[in-house]
Amino acid sequence: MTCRLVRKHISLYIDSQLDSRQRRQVEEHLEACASCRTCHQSLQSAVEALGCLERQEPRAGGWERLRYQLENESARSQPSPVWRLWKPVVAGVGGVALVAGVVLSLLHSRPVNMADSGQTPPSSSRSAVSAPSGLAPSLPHNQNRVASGAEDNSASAQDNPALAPAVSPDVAVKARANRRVARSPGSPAALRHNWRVARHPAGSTAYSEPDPAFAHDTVSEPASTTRDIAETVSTGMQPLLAAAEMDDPVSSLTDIRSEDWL
Amino acid sequence: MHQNAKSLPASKSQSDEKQLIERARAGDLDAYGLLYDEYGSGVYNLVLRMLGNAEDAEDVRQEVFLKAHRSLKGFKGEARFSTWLYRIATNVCLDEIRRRKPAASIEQMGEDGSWEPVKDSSEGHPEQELGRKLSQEAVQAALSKVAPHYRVLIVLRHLEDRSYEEIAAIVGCSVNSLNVRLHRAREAFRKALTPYLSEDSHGDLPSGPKTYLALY
Repeated sequence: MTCRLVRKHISLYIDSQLDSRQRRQVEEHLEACASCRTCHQSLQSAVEALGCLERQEPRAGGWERLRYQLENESARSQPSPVWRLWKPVVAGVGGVALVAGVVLSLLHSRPVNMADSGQTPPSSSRSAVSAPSGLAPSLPHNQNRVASGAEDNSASAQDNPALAPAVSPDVAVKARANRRVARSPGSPAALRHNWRVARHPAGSTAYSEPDPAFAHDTVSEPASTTRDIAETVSTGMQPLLAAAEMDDPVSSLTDIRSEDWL
Repeated sequence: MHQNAKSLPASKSQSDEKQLIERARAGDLDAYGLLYDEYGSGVYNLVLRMLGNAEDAEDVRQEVFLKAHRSLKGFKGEARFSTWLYRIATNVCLDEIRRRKPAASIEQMGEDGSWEPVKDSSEGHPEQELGRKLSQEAVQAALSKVAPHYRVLIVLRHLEDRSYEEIAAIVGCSVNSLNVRLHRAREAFRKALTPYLSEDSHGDLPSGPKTYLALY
């Protein structure tokens, strides 16, 4: 057995972890090699020195202190009897409040959404659109889009230049007013507006780009209503989600799992 | 070498321990108290030798048993309860030592994770230290200078008298890997002990025959 191999096994030898054959080989080498013998003796002595570390007994009363802590933990983890009585009530009220909040946000976001999205409102805005007499009679299918906003006007106008002079000034003013209302802080339209501005820092140029999907779109009443509802539902959640992202403590209630209420 | 509290009394079998664990898991604090009586002393000594301070050892022992109680539902009985408990104790100790950030240890892990032993100035001349005697404090001080992940191996093997298989399960490595690590741990301890030999040769020795050890 070489010195290298002996030193590799010296720790196992001290711990009596070698089989009899290996043990005998190591012992034969140690008898012959002074260097390895010194190595063995020093390591053996260090291990024996650990023997002076006597076992210590911990001070009394350890279990009593631990038990006190465990009982406190257990008491904290169990709900109080009063809370147990009120828990269903609080859960019910919380649930109703949550649903009411969602419904209100949907109702609130619906007209705003239509004003900004360029879709046809079911009744009132449609009549407002058709009222101006300056619209070109040759483009009846674009009437709905004209009233929805200046950006849509410009989009359609770029798509079809004949439409541009047909927009009356008061329609544009109404559209701008609608947009101002729609862009009140926190509304979905305002969020989309901010997003668009962020995407297109040039401002109005962003709005002047035609949307090919809308430019040649012949909007029929049922289809428009369906899209309105779909988009209203999808965008209605945006204020809640956006607020939750901003760590709004109230809106973050929506993140609480149902089991946390029970 | 040491009195050892690792094994249950003869009257208590493994099934008794399982029953105690089941009862403790169900919230029976008296059953958990029996487990505490059984292993409390061993855990205390492990923590004491790892931290080197009796006050801290008492606090950390309590923390170990608190954590073990919280985790009792996760104990599936695949390992022995003592192995599981010592694993918790080892992790709590290492966390505590990490939090304290000791100034230096006898060996440091290299940046690439390799082992870099500190040079031993007296290496090659162990005969110079013949006849030197060591105190308990000196041995504990030397032990405290060994890197924690090696120190725990020395404590488990030589002070708690655990088997290789159990130590491997506690620290989460193979037995083959443990062989290598344990050798490095002993070597590190031997080097850490060397400076204390000359100090103790001038006195400050505790009483009792067991503590008068000739190192070389």
